[in-house]
Amino acid sequence: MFDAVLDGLWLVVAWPAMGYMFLGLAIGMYFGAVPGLGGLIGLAILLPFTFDMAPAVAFAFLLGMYSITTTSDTIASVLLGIPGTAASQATILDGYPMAMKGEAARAFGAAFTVSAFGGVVGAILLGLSIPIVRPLIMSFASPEFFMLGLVGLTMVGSLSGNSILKGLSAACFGLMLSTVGYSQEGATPRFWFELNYLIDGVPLIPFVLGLFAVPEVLALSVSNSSISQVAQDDSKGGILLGMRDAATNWWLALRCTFIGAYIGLLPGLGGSIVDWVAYGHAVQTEKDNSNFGKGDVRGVIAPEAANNASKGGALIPTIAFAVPGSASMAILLVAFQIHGLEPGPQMLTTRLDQTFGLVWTLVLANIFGAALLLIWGKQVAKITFIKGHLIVPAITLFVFMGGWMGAKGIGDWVTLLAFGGLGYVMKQGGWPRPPIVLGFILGSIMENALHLSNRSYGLEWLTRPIVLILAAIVVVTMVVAIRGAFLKNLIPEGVASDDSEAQDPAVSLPFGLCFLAIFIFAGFHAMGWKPDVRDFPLWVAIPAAALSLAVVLQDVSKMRHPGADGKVAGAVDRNRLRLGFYFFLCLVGIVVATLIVGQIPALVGFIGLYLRYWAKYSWRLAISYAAIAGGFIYGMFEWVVPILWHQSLLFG
Amino acid sequence: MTINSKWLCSLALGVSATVLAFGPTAANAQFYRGKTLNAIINYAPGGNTSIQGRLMMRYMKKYIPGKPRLVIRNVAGAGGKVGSNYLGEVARRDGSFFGIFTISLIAEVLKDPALRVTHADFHLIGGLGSSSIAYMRTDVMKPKLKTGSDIFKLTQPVKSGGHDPSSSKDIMIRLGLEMLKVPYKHVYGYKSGGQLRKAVMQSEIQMMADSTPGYRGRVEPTMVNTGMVVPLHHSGIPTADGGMVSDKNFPDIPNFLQFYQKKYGAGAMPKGMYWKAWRLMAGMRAKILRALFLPPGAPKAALDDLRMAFAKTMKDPAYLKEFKKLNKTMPNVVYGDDGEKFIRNEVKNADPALVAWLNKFVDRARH
Repeated sequence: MFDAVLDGLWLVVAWPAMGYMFLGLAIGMYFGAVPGLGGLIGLAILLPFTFDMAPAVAFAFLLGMYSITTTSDTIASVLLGIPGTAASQATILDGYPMAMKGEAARAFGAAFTVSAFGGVVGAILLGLSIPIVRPLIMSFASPEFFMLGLVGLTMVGSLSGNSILKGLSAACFGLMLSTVGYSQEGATPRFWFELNYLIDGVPLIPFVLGLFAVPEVLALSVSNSSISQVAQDDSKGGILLGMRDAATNWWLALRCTFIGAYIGLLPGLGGSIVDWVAYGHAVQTEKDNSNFGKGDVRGVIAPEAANNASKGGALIPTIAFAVPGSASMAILLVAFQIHGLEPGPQMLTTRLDQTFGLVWTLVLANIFGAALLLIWGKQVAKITFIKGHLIVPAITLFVFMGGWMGAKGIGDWVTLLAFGGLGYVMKQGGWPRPPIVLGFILGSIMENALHLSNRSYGLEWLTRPIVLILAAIVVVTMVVAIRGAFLKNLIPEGVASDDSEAQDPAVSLPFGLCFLAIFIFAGFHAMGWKPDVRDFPLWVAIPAAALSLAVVLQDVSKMRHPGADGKVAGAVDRNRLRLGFYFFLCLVGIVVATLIVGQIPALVGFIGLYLRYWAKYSWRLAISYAAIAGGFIYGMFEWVVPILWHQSLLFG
Repeated sequence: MTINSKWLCSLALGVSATVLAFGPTAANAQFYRGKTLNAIINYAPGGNTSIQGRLMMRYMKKYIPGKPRLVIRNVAGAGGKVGSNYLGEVARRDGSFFGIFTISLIAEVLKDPALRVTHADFHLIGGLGSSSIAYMRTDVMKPKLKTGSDIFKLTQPVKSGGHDPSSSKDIMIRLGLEMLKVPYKHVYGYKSGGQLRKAVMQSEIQMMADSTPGYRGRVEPTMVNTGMVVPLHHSGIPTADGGMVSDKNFPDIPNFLQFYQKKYGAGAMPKGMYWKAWRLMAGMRAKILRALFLPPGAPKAALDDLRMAFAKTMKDPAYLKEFKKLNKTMPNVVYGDDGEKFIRNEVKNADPALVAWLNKFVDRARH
């Protein structure tokens, strides 16, 4: 085995493999940093270029690109509150608040360091685990996947801030959203309202971008301040402090690396939830978790260590069993075949040198990539001190174009804005947003796994050993979470403090009533379907309605009992709410303008008009900024990552 | 007539002949010059359709006269129907858009409401057929299966796996098992071929069917060669006389008719709706599984150019070498006119009694 380790290293460090790895790193940094792109699109575009390369060179190039995307995606997550890729959603929860405190550079220092740590240690862990990988993967079938999903849902308690009722209700909403579209179980479209756009379900990218990014853009547009609420001269901590934070929290980073590597190993599950599971684990296990969600550096360390480790995990079932755990791995699998590497057990025995070559590529790419990002991170972090009005147009552009990458047309922008409005109201009303995303991601995994388990095993699946162990973990976690909530006297009353300062019951109450109405409607609607199609949404709707009712009653109580100063606790500034609404209408205007004149004119027009009339800058600046933005949109989305433009009324 | 006049006449005739011979071709060769050609793939990046499509385009683009800029995009969803609907309803019909699709003609025959267009109206540029290969875990009984025909001794139901009862894969699995009178329980709901293969490895299901590249590229090295599964049969190519011949890429695996005759004797022929349905499905897959289409109304010049480019690609040794590396087989090619006739015939002339029977067959799996 030691010979295989060295042979693998030699394959990677030889020229030109090393050179192509650096090229891949450069491309990967870009694909990770721009929201909506990510490793999958990068691999799909780069794969044909590797056909004529030698195998070691091709994989250095592809894996170099792929492995760094979950490091560079931190940039958008921290600076802008926009997930750079699906793997960095949880990083926003503390990364963006750190940027608001003027600690973006510190967040980068911590994130890039643990990303390298997670990637390297994760790869080593998996290399050492090769003898047990096969039985481990083979043990996790559909029943175990369902139970893992349940374990993931117990993280909701950790993601709910101080309002577990709202968190659980939001998670149920996410579960319900996952049932929209064609049911695999019964070939019946659910909750699609005869809209073909919804036949395949709610698309993930515009949904997440809308939920998290649009509220931040709205907040920036009305606040007229930079992302950092702290002046540059007063900001504390830079890259080096972040690196020290990573070293201080080495035990957390190591645990999350384990989580990332071994959950990433499970095909079809790992990549989508690993950052949430790691974040939830950190909240549940770390001492003094009161600052999570408000800019705690550990909230960045946990998901970033895990998501890089999961990349190595996902590689193993791909090369050992030809079972790709994700679309990215499916592309890599094809690359193996094209270059004559036959995936299979021999990759763990007689061709171990090739496997270690891939592992070494991950290790070196993570180290070099993180080093490059650490060098540039301080400069990039200065974006947080730029005036908000100058940042809003760029963020809006990235959010809208990122939301377009799903290639489902103008409906993606409608989805983006619909969830953007929802996210803004949730933020003002103190409703936590992360549980919705967790519920959404886990919902389709769990429903599918539950149906397959019942069909394949009958009820016997409930007696499988790993299922029983996971069930025990679920019960223990729930008991601990509920007990903790009672000890903090948070049920049924208490001032919630989640990812925002505002928890206006006047905003929360109508929102809670809407949720209640949605769940009641969903439940009644579901009752008309066949059992296979009906059961999951119905089982979600019933407790969800009960939880929403509890939240409504809680808000009514708060409004009836204002504080000693006569004001209701957590009320928001009505003027800011109104301005936010007006800006939201401007975003709707982009969609309307797109229908008439097309995307580029609509976005460029928005940018120019925003800077001139909202931000009150000069025409010269407005036109220059808009022209540069237009050039970027055209160059990027017509040449680099071509998209299908919307066919406008006027210009076709 | 003077020599000069004769000379002039000859010259005029010669020039006219030259213009007539090369004029249309010259015009064709200009069709895509300076233009952008958009390829729509109807499955997501990472899937087999996308990978195969991008591989083909890498070679085909150099044969398109005028050398247009080629832009490839994925428009995925609803089992490929979103991309098909896009090409038929939204894409411009000026030759600037074409589709690279994996198609399910059976979805059209069974009138899937999610598909709002008909492939019979598209212009076929060219396509590739593929067989389906059924295989089963060797440990479904004791002693273990040594060959495919050992399954005839099964007394306990095997668990077969698929996507959805209306998918061609699921229909063919069930048709085959019922014709062979092998007891089974069908578990559907798996979202991808990879998920199905994993389920076979984990013994959650014991039998499934894969396409040619999936079988040769993934199943053979990891499951057949390790003794975990044995191949049973491939779908075969129906003949006009009611029989069946083998796919030349599978000399080592019997076609379904040969496998059937292993149980019921040489010369035995399946009958009735089951066999009709099998021949319909197998014929569709073998003839055309992946297709390049132009939308209805696209210019003939565009169609001619793309058909020519496709034909040259199918003979390009470099493309064939890459195709073989990826699929471990050579392509089964269908060209424009032939494929178009086939699609129109299958879709528009489908036997209504067979369609009704298939719909009931599909419904039975859901209950």
